[in-house]
Amino acid sequence: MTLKINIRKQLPNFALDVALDCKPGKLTAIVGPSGAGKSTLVRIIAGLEKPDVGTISLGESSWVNTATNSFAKPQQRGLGLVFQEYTLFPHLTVRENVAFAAKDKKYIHGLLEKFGISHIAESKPANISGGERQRAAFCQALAREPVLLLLDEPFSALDIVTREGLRKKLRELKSGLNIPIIHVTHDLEEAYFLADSIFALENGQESPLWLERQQKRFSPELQVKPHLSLVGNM
Amino acid sequence: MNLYPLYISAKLAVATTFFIPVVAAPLAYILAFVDFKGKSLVDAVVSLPMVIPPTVLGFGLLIVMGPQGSLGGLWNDLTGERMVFSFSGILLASLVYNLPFAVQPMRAAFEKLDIQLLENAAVLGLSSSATFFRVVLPNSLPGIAASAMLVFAHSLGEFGVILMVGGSIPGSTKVASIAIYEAVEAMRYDDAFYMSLAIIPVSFLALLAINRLNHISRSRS
Repeated sequence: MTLKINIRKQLPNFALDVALDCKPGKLTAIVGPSGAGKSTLVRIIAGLEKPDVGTISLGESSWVNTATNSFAKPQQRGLGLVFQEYTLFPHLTVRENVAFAAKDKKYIHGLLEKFGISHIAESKPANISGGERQRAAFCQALAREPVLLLLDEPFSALDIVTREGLRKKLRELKSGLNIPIIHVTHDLEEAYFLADSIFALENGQESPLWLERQQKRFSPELQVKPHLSLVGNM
Repeated sequence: MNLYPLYISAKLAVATTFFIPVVAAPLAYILAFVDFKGKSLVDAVVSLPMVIPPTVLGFGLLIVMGPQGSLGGLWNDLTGERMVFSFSGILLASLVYNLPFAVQPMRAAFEKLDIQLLENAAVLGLSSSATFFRVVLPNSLPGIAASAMLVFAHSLGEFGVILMVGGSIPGSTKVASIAIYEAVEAMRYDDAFYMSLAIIPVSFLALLAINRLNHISRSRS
């Protein structure tokens, strides 16, 4: 099911104005400088904030339609969200965190194995490393069999080695997930590595020019990635 | 020495500590996380018992809980009993008087939680009430326990409000602090001394526990 976003929200310094389609099985990277409105966009898609005007739908389900004043709560959207910071529940073990909203408990062990954290399944989040916590957060989001996966700079707080490992894991994983994946990052290299398409955001607006400017700073090797395509208003 | 007032004080403190979370926890949750029109007003009303003289609060409650009062009249219709000068009456007065002492520490404990934990719970499909019981409460236990100890210690020493609403009926509303006052008035200093001696260690231990729980709460955040 394709995610269709067409929203506008006035922010303190500019208006966030985005029209974007995300196809199932594809990873769309949303890139842009800090304060461009990337995280606000993720929060609007997740239902944690409301747009001033616009629509968001996934397949036949309408999540937001300001014209009819309809707004699906985050609980009703059935999506998975991995935040920038660790948001595992501190009082639960890794296994309990992953099982927290799992649709089918029998997949939990497989998920923990896939992310290489089954050996810390009975540990509390405070007693594991940052990389392990973020792996567990991925498992938690995936265990509920989401209809959409939202990743809000999930690797930005990790060291380079751990980040590399998780990037590879995500790239390996995305082909098997037949859902749209939105990955917010300020790291263009990460976007090139993971994305099927890239959406650049600057001051709340789509900005292919910003992307071009950034590309010039990158090595030529990164500029010729064959899977990269710009997405705009579709 | 008659030990019954000590028993009434302990019974009142335990009952207040047991029942107050029913009102205080949702109030603390709303004040911590929900923005609404008139929030400052609600906040001020909840905190009012902390700043007005206990006799003034007690007088107000006496009017409301008396046979002609709205609450007292309703209670009388429902149970056939009067609300003032009864244990139920002083329990209700104690709950009102202790409300800010329960709400403020709980609210502080809730506000220490990362808002993203609650947002994550919502995205994972949990309703607000399920989030409260499955996420907020388990991660605020030291703050809630500190609130309970504060209410317990505070209830043990109540005087003005209880005297206004409950009078001094032996075996029913005469709590230890009132019995101590009466013993001093009657120059039975030995009785006053031993009853005071019984209360001080309990209050002291409660304060030690509060300090310890606050320390645990701080080290968690």
